[in-house]
This record gives sequence, C-alpha cells and structure tokens, in this order.
Amino acid sequence: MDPNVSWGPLISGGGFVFTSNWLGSGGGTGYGGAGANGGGAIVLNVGGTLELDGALNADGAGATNTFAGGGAGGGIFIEATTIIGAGSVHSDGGAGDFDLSGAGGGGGGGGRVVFECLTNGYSGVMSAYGGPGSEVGGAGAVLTQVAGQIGQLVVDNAGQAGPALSPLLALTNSSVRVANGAILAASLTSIAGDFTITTNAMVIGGTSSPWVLSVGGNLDIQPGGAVSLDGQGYGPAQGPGGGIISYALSGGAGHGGYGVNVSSFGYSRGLVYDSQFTPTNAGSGGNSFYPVPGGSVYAGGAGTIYTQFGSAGQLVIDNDGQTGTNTPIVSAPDAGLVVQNGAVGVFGSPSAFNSLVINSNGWLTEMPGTTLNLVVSSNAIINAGGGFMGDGLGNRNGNGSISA
Amino acid sequence: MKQIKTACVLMVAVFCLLSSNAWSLLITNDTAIGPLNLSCDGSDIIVSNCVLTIDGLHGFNSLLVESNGVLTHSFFPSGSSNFMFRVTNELQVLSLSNPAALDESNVVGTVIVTDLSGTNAYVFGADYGETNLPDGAAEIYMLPGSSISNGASVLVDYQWEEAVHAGLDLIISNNATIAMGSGINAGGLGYGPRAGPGFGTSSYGIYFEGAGGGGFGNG
Repeated sequence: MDPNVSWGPLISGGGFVFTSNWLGSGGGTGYGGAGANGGGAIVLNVGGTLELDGALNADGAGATNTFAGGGAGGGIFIEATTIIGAGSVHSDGGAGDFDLSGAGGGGGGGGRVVFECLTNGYSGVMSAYGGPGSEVGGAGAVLTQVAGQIGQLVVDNAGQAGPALSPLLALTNSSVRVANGAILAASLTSIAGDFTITTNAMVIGGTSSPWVLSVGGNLDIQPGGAVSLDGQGYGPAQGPGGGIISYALSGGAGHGGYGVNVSSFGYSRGLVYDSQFTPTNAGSGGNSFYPVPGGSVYAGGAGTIYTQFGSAGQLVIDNDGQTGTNTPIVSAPDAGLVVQNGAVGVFGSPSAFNSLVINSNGWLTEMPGTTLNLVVSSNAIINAGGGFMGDGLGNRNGNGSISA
Repeated sequence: MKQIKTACVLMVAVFCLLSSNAWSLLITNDTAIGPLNLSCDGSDIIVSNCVLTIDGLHGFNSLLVESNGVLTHSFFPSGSSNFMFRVTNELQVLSLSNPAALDESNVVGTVIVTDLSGTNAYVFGADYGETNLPDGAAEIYMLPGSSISNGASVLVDYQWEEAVHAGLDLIISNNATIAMGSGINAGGLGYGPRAGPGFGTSSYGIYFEGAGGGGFGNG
C-alpha cells in the first residue's frame, strides 16, 4: 500500500472505495531470487452482525529466497452493524530472509486493519506488525471506529525495534496509541482524542517547521517513549543562527544559546533568535570547513526551557555541565529564573524576574559595555559554585534574600 | 467512465431488496466465483470443508464459513487482472448529426447494432461505425447512406474490458459468521515481488539484499 495514504473519515456510509492500495506490496529481490508477495485484501460490508470467531488473515508472505525481502501486510476493512466474537485478525508484514550476522532481506511493513461498526463486542486479537528481517518492517495500523465515538488507532510493532517508520499524514476523530517499538512519522496536525506513546515507542514530528500538533484529549508520553525532532531543523549553515565560516574555521549554529566561535581571528558563531517563551522556529545548521584545531571540543551555549503552569512560569538555562558560550536572557517579571550546570545567562538591558536561583556552575553576566541591572521581586538564591561574572557585578536590586 | 462496480452495486442493491427471497447455497467442494459470475449473488452462502475463491465485487444475503471452510481470493501479481464483460441490448439513438456514447468504456472487438426487435442486424462499416476515444470512451455513429433511419432507436451489443483488483470485496446484506476453525485467508495474495506502490528494492553489493515491501509501515 501507499505508505503515505491519509486516513480520512472512516465511517464510510457506503462511500468506501476498494482499490488495489489495500494490497500489500511485494518484497525486494535478494541474492537468491525474488522477494515475497504482499498480503491480499479483505473487504466486508455486513448489514447485520459479523460474528468472528475464526481468522482473518492478510499477512505478507515470508521470503523464501536467500536475502530476499518480506512482503508487506495487506488490508482488512470490515464494516458491520455489530461485530462480536473472539477470533483473530492479522495483517502483518512477512519476514525477510537474513542470517545471524544481520545481513539479508528486510521485513515487510505492517498493513492496515479497519473495523467500523455501530456496536463493537469483538474481543479477539488484531495486529498489523512489521515483519522480522535484517531490519524490522515498520508497524502497520489498526483502527477501530464505533459510530458516535472517538476511534482508536493503534500502531504497535510487537516489541520489535527497527528504523522503519509508520507514516501518518492525517486522521479524523480518533485517538492514537503508538506502542512496542513502533516509530510513527507524524505529519498530522491534530488528534481528536488521546495521544499515547508507550515505552519503547517514538513519534517523529512532521516535516513542517514548526510542527504544531493539537491533541484534543490527554497526551501521555510514558517512560521510555519519546517525541523526537532531532536533526530535523535547518540544514548545514542554514537558518537565522546558521554557523559561519571565519578564517577557515566553522562555527556552531545558534538558537536559544550562541553557537561556538571557534576562530580566534574572526566571528563565526551562530546567532541567537526566536522567542524565549513561545519558540516556533527550528534549529539552525552548523557549518563545515576544516575541523576545529587540535581536536579540541567546544560547547555551544545552553538553550532555554520555559514552562508555565497557570500563571507561574519558570525559565531554566542548563548546559549539562559544559563550559560553553552565552545564552541571552529576556526579562520575564512573572517568571522564575534558574541558571546551572555551565550555563551563562547574559543580559543586554535592565531585566526583572519573580525569583532567581543560581545553582553550582551557573552564571549571570552582562553584554560588553552594559551594566547588569536585575530586579528580583521575591527570593534570590545563589548557591555555592555559581554567581555573577564578567566585566562587573552590576546593580543587583533583589528585594528578597540572597544566600550563597 | 462507468465502472464495473457501479453495475455490481446496483445489482447488489436489488438483491438486498429481494433478500426475503434469498436461497441457500451450500458449497462443500473447492469452488471459484469469478467477477463475471453473479449466479450466486443474493444467496445465503455456506462454505463448509472447502476453499471458496471469490474475485470481484459480489453480494450475498448472508455468509457462513463453517469449521474447515476457507474463503479467499485469487493472486494477481500486478494487483489486478483484466476481465472481459459483455453488454447486450443497450438502447441507443443514432442520428447523422451526433454520435452516440456507449455506456461502457474500453470496448473490445466489434460493436453489433440491431433494430429494436433485435433480429435485423445493421452492417458495421456500411450502416454505422465505431470510435474509441483517447480517454477510453467509445462512440458509434451513422455512416452516409446508412439503412438506419435518422434518429432511430437501436440495440447495441459489445464487449468491454475492465481491470479487477485482487481482493475479497463482499457486501453481505444480513449476518456473516466466520466460525472457529474457519477463516478468510488473503495471506500472500497481494502484489507480487517488486510490485505495488511500496515495493521493496534491492541493494547492489556482493549479495543482493531485498528490502521488505511497504505497507502502512515502511519495509
């Protein structure tokens, strides 16, 4: 099937059109011959009750030739007034042929299963797992939609972890559960119900920047689950804070913090941009010319993390213990500020915060040629190993206590 | 272009209306029902201890797959297969000023035109001609000197070709039961090797390594 098919409204009301896109595609050729067939298609429109205690199977075939790829799972579309029974429904990808070294054919991707009904009493198993192989096929999707209710889309790969993705462009009126090794490449912008990412599952954000996803129900990212946009920002040397080449040395990109200035002769660091409190822009790309001299490692500036629950906001600047470049800070009188772990916050103008905590190896300073003027309306705590640095201490007008 | 599905859906709808007159069909030997065979449509169909292969859209009043019964569809490596369909007694009006568009597209072979009694056949190439348009549609037209009266109604017979997708595509008017120990099996009946929108490709190292086919998940 076309892996980029959007999910439209699925209580079809007779509007469903069966096409060959419901078939699973065939696996690639291996050293020993042709790949495996994809899974077929089962489309049932039942006016009454479907009692399902047997099996519906549209699995992709397993590869039989050396190093050939498995077939993709096919499609199963069931529409009935009522569905009952405890049978089994499978549209799994077929296995690729591979050896113990991990060489060989990949597994077929999982297929699609859709149950639509007015009443659902079905208690059997349903799966659209990717097939095993040198690399595991991406999980398919199982959608259960009861009329008048939020549907449930499950993308589950049976605990198999692999790089293959499960693309999802759009989905109407459903919750989404990504589980057990599945990696959902989500280009969709809204989920009507809950969005659950279980342990060992991942969601890779959409291709647009910023990727904005509206979740109508609860968002639950369980321990070990993840949403990742790693490496999906601007390309090399691109973006508002793209790294700059200066005297044949390549600077790191900036965003929340400055990039690294690796040249002692000129200016090569990437600039800071975007909102500290409502960031919407992607990260810029670093530049590449020659490796940095002497194998030295230079750290960029810490970015900023802003959280707000109700009216209480908190801005955290943390550089994971690395000594790097600076992080410009914008005044936020209603928010607390926490600086720690190698981060260096820098003020360019008089600023105010509700509270201030400087933890070990956290530092505040001012832009060259300016005076640090910081008003803290409640408590300011400066713990051992952290403090103020730079050209001068500036004017500190904290109204609360200061401890060190 | 009208699709086979349109005709079949209409036929299925008629069967639904007549469902009170459904008749039972017990199948106990391996059987195939092709896309052109609508003789079983409308029945209460029971599959027992055998394999029933169904291709194309069909409608039954009810379906029971008993233990050891299997329902399946054919394997078409490219995902579909062309089938020939026949149209008889399609009513058309021929005039010298306008060609008449046939109801179906992808017409194959000669179109036969008769008068309304169906007994007097006109002569292709002398009384009428036929044109297949680039989009697959087909037209018939009167030729100069035709023995067909200008503006006459005629009956038309012809064959047309339609690609039928692989897959089991059933409309069941009432209940369907897939009993324990039975099933619908479409495993490995999708696209063939290196076929389909998401077919797996191959590496070109010393040993070819085939990627899995893509379904909803990538292979």
